[in-house]
Amino acid sequence: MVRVKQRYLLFTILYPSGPQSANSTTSKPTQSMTFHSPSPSSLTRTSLASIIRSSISSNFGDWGIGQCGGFAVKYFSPATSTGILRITRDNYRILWAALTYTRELCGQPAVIKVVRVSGTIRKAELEAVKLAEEAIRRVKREAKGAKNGGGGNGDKKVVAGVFAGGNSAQAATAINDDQDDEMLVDIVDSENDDDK
Amino acid sequence: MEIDTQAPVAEVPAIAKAKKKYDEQRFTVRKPEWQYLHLRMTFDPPHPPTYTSPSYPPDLLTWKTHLSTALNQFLGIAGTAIPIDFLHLEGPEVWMRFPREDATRFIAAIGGWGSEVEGRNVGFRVLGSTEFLMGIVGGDGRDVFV
Repeated sequence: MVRVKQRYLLFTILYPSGPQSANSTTSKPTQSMTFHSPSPSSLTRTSLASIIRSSISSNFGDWGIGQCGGFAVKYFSPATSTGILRITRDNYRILWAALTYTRELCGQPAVIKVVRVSGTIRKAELEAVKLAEEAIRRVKREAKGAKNGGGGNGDKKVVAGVFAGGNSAQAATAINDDQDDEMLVDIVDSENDDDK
Repeated sequence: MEIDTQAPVAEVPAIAKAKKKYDEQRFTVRKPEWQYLHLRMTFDPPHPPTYTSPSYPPDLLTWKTHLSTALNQFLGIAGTAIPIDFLHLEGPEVWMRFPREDATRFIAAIGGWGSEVEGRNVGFRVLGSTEFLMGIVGGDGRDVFV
């Protein structure tokens, strides 16, 4: 019995100019918040898959689609602009290249950055949690630098809101929902540690 | 007696030296840089013999266009990035070269391609594919070593 080996690609979408729809909710976005801003709500797992597929097709043709057209978007959160792709191990570099060559999403310039290649989806998820923590810490630091002191309780709400938004906007699988709950707990714990 | 015994002793190093000097040297080219290809553009229905027109026999730009179309369909932009050198053009046939690493996918891409141009089905036929130029220019190459 031979097992099919897979690779899980954790990616984040960066918006050099910031999506037009996202700026309305935040009162005064910091620089890193603009760069890592949420994706437009029209970007879903299925639409993302078709965009990636067309990128593979234009860059690697029929052969490329044949090699790695069988990828799956396992998870995508428009709130954090983070997602996980699954692909067979032999072909993950083609998919990676196709992601790198993607220049715009939903009509606005975007960069898809592959943050981590992993053999299990669990490790990719842990990395996603770490990334989210870092992003929040960075935003807090920038906010503190801006007005010399930030709110303590408000941060938890921000974190909860970010991940809750991700869940409601995106119908994830049952496993992913469980993982998201864990993420939330992890983040709140570590934030408390930081405050002490 | 003395001469008999000493003469061979003196000769042995001389023979060894001579053997070393003219020892057979072998050299194998393991990974050549280029793959050479002899291609013919096929037309169906075929052109009558001695037929000529502005579009037949195809010129190098036509070759480049059709090859790029085939490569773009099968390999996308990555396929059109394969650098092709046309070496010789004669009638509907062309001799060309490209990097050896791309040989498999290149031949797969152009071999599976077909299109309709001016009411005729156009395709490519690979007449020869080799890692050495001698393999497609004809002859057994013996005249090189005269």
